[in-house]
Amino acid sequence: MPPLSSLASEISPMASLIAIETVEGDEIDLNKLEPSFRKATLSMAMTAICCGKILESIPSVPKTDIAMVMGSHFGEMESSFGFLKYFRESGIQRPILFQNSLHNSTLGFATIQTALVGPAMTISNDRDTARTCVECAHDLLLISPFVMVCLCDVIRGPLTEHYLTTFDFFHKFNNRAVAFLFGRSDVIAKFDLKTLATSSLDVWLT
Amino acid sequence: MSFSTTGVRVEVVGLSALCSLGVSKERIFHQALNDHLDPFRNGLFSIAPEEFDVLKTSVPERFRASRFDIMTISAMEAALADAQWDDAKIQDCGFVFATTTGEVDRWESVLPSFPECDLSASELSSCIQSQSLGHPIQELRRHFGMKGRFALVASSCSASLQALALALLWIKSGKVHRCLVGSTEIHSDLTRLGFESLRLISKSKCRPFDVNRDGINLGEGGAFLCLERSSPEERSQKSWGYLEGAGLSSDAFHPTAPQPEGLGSIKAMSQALQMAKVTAEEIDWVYAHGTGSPSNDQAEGCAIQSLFRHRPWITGTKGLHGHMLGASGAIESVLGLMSMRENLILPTYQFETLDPKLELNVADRVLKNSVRAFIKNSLGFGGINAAVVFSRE
Repeated sequence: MPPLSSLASEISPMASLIAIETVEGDEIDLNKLEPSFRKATLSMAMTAICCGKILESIPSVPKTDIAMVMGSHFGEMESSFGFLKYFRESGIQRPILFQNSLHNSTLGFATIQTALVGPAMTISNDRDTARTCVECAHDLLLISPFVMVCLCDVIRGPLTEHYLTTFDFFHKFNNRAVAFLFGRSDVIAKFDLKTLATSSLDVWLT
Repeated sequence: MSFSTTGVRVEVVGLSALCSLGVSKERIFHQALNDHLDPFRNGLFSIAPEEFDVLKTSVPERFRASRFDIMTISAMEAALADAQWDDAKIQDCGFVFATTTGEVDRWESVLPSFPECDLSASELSSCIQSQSLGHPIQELRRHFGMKGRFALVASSCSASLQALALALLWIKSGKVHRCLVGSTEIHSDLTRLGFESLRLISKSKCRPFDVNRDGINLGEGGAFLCLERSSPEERSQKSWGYLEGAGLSSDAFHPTAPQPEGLGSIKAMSQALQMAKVTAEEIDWVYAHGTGSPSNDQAEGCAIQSLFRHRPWITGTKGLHGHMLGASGAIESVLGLMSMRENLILPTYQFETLDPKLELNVADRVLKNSVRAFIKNSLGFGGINAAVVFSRE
């Protein structure tokens, strides 16, 4: 593997990093969020809030100009397990749990909350999920001026330690959302945006 | 026709498919033209047990524990053989895989009931690895000796076409010279019970765009496409056509229902046409997502009739093989390319009477028709839309 400080710039010289935001699971009380979040899982809420923070920082950029890449190692695991467990125990299929169980459910909720209508894609790639998301973001800059990446996973309950043991890289991603905004170098000046050093990504790409 | 004749083009040089109609693309295509086989049982389109057993014995023993792995390896091998890529080409090629549930058969019966389930530490670890979509595919990459760029797309029913879009961008931007793209989906309790809970399953074979449509049928299968960077003077002897353009969009509307007027789908298809440098009028055939669900077909039909005012033929084939979710775009792209080579347009199976709210030219039988280019469209849960354009020359 190349040194990570050079990794992001190596991925695409035409891309600039504009913003990074994080949201911790402990910061979110689902019962206190606004009504549009009432059917959301914790990862949906964290993703939407984290992406919302980025969008607040770039009010001049039209949302039609922003693509989104969602990265999740294990998807909406709680809803998937909850749907199957509830059915096996009660014989009842709960549609809300299925609706929230798809790997893509997080992205769908986030785009609705943030009103993003550009290209949107969910990526999962084992220990390379973060890196692949950043690479895909840079690929999508070929067709979209801005791309937001959000990484989010939530594993709680008795399986947590087993997931952390099985996937040694996973500690830094669990119960957390982190979002990055990339812009094409040619549009950064147009919107008078400042850029961040790409080395800011290193901690997430290792 | 103004397809790019200079610069980078992306040629399709290998195909594979397996599903309830057969475990080779030739068998499936034959059934698509003749529609003699009826693999629809208990509301599902499933691969015949005897055919699956043949697949199972053909893969290495360590992969036989998962139906998903067996189908994926079989379909990948068939596509790579069709492309005649040698080991060196396979090692360097990019790989974009699409799935929504992956090895769900290895964990769904046990992990949800943890800690009550009786698992050893190694069994638990193995199940957890399977629950990660990416981990099993990394194992398959190693099995094939693939070391090139890789991504796994999990964007619901649009996943395959998104994977094709990504591969197109990789090849056009020079990141890879060739790329394997495909998808596999298997039946699972999670998807079957889940779609039942949403009351989206039809008890009879689905009827896309028909006034009497009442839901979808689930299917299982896998399909792969081998793509290569091409130039006008280098048309491959084994060419199935060209991947010319792709478009992606999001509805930002509803978790499971498309925007009713198909606005997101219009955007995705428009972008695909734009990248392909063709006008809507140059599209001879629209190979629709066509699930048979009232809301999907309404939204997609609106999008198609809004964009394609010259009324090209419309086809939705899920009444033949079922809805393979993330894999549907891949297998339907394969069928579309095979049809285009033969100048045939596949029918919309079970279609009888057009929904009066739609104005579409739905193909209701196999048609002999010159097809220079077709668009493959898809819509997915989460409001995720994707479309790709293929051309023959």
